[in-house]
Amino acid sequence: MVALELKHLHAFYGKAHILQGVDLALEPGAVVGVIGRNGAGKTTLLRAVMGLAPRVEGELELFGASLRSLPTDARARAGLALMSQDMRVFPELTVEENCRTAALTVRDPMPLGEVLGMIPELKEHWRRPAGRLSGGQQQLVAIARNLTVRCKVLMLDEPTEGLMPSIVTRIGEIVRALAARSVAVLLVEQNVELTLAVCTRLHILEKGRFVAQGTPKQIVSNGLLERYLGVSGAGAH
Amino acid sequence: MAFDQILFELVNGVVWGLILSVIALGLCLIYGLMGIINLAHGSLYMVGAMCAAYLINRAGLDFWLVLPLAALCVGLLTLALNTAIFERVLSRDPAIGLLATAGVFLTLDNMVLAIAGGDPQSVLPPVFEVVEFAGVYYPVYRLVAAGLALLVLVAVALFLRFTKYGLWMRAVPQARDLAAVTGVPIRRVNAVTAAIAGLTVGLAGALATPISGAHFQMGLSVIAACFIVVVIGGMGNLVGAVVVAVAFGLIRGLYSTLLSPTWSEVAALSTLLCVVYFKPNGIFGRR
Amino acid sequence: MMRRNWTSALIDALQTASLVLLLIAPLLASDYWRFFFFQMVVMVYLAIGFDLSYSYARILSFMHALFFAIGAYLAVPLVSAAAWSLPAVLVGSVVAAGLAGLLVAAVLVRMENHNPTIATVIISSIALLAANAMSGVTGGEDGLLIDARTIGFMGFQVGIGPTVALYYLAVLPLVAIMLGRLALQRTETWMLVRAVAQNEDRARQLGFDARLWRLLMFAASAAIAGMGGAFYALMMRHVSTSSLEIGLSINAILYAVIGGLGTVFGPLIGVLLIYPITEVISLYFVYVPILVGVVLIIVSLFFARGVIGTLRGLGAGAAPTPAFGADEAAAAQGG
Repeated sequence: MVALELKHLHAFYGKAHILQGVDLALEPGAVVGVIGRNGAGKTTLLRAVMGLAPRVEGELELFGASLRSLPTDARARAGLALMSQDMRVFPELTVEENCRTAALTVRDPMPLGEVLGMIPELKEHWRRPAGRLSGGQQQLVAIARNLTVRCKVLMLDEPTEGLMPSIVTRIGEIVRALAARSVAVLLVEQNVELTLAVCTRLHILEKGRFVAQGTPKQIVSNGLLERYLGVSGAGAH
Repeated sequence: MAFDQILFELVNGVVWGLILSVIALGLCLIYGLMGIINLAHGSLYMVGAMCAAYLINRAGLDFWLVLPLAALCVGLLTLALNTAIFERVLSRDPAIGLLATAGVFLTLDNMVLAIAGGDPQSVLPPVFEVVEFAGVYYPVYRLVAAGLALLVLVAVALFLRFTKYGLWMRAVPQARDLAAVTGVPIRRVNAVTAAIAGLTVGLAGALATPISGAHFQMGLSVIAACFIVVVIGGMGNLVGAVVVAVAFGLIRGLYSTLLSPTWSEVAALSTLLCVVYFKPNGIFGRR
Repeated sequence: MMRRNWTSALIDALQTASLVLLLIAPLLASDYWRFFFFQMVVMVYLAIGFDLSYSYARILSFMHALFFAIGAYLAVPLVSAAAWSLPAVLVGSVVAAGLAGLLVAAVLVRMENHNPTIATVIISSIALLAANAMSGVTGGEDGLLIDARTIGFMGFQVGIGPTVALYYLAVLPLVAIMLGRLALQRTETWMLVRAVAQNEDRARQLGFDARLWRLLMFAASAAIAGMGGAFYALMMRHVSTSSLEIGLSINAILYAVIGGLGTVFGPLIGVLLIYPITEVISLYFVYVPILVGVVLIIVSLFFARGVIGTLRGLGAGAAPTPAFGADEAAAAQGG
């Protein structure tokens, strides 16, 4: 069964028509990448799915159930998760409290011990206010939160921006681990290298529409990367 | 002025400061959680006091039973306000919330006037004892009221620290969108916030009746102090509000050694207004 | 386009009609109605004061009744038969209220978000407390009376109280203010200035001092409220601390919101619509403020754009208009 399905999704900010009919199907265990130039609508796409965009039209289904009438928090409890740069952590809560805030929203959260097993780097910071951690560590806290609620669909909005290469690799590992656990991952990224390495499928978003899609190999060999983003695919495997 | 008189006024100041901090707490919670400036907060305090006065004087109930009843009454009223108004105002221009709560203030104050009349009502304190210390004879009830106010503050602090909703109530003001995205049930958290704000401000109103009586305009007398304390403490900053409230009480107490009650209120408020000039967004800043 | 035309025409008709009504009422009506209209005129001053403060200084003020009262109280000692008396009352009230506004705004513009509104509530409360405590000076709730029956103006003696002469003396500046605002709105400089004033960051980038602008606009709004207060005192020949009550400010807010915030004629239309209704109701029902409160709640939740804003919204079709500032939005759309 398809984990997340978008049909003819449109999104508007005031008079601006940002998303102009997006169709997407995301299966459990898939890592689907969305790439595109700045302003193409990538962030709007994720926000619209999460219920944070002011005006949205079209179909949005999570395991067949429509999300359209649900507010953001209900969508989250249904298994949809968003990791976004401007909302990584609750700054004044400790790392432990950050995770507990999430754990309390679901009936069967992942035990905190198991979460720490997947992200052991957080052990030493467990009781520190999350706002004091570095950007990369905060990102790990955000991932820990989403692990805690056993999210079924994880959307990541440029998770590696401004982070060190070691953290970028780490995030890639965790994304693959999640996919192995049948989580469906939707990854919006500027870092082409990571995207090509981790994704099973890529969509290229331009001016609010998907203009191309395929496996990373296909996208690179057809020269689509250069065409739409102006970058070469050197480094894809 | 003699030392014992000064001490009397200072203790009065601390008592009032603690009651004020309970009132300010609710206002702060509503702002911190929902971003709403509740101009009707003084009216809720007044309703708590009028409820208490009615239940004690007309229904003849025992004071200690009336305290939680009055609190409950205002708690329910605030929940109703939350559903009718706060929820509708959440995602809109803040001016709308200001106007709507101003409307609530007018409506509540004048409804109480219509129902209960304009005469101030007095309520006898449940304990008449007077205690002596350092040459001062001080009414025990006021100390009890202060103690209860302190207890309420501690109870709220414990609630915020150790319960599920308390954690969520701490999380939401720090990152509203993130809270929603994390799955925190925002509507329910808002309702709990409104309930706690109502319970505390209603209790404060009831506690104050043996000291200041009950009158349909007593909300007005408290709203300036309440607001100024919250602004200086830093909007949404609970600890800040409590600290500044007690400080206000002390300052007012100090002025009371020199001026009449009305003028000491004016002086204390004006003093804090000067602080607002230098620190327009609070001493401790917003959370 | 058809829809836009009929609503624009309706708005123009409404505005013209309200203006005409204002100007001819005292000639047609009895003493009672003249008094009635005079009270409305005075409330329009107060409502315009509030509207200017909200729309141009971006301060939602609950204290404009204070500026109104300053103008009113200042009038009392200045009324005499001397030739300079009326100008002194008017200039004095405008200057005093304007200065008070400047002083208050100096604090308010430094505050973020809607803290200024809270500050206006606080200041209004302090002022009422102090005024009642100083009943020796202010007369407290009983207030002060103006015994004189006439006031000197150049060579003439103008009858005070709700006289025809005084009515026109009050209405003319009001109409001038409204027409002036109308003319200013159409100029490009004004639109640029207002657009910039809405966004302090952008203003700073363009080298424009938005804070100074807001300060001056708030002072002007206070001055206008003060002038209204002066006319109120002259008409009633009586001032009391009830003019300092926050309920008066809230009434002005209601008129401005119902008429349409940010519009030139909004305050006038709001007063003309609501004031008579509340006066009539008060004949049968003592607790009119309950209704005012309920109406304010309903209006702010459901009709925040007011009469003019809603009409412009209808005319513009599906395009969303801002909640406040309907005139400017219409002007910007070329409407």
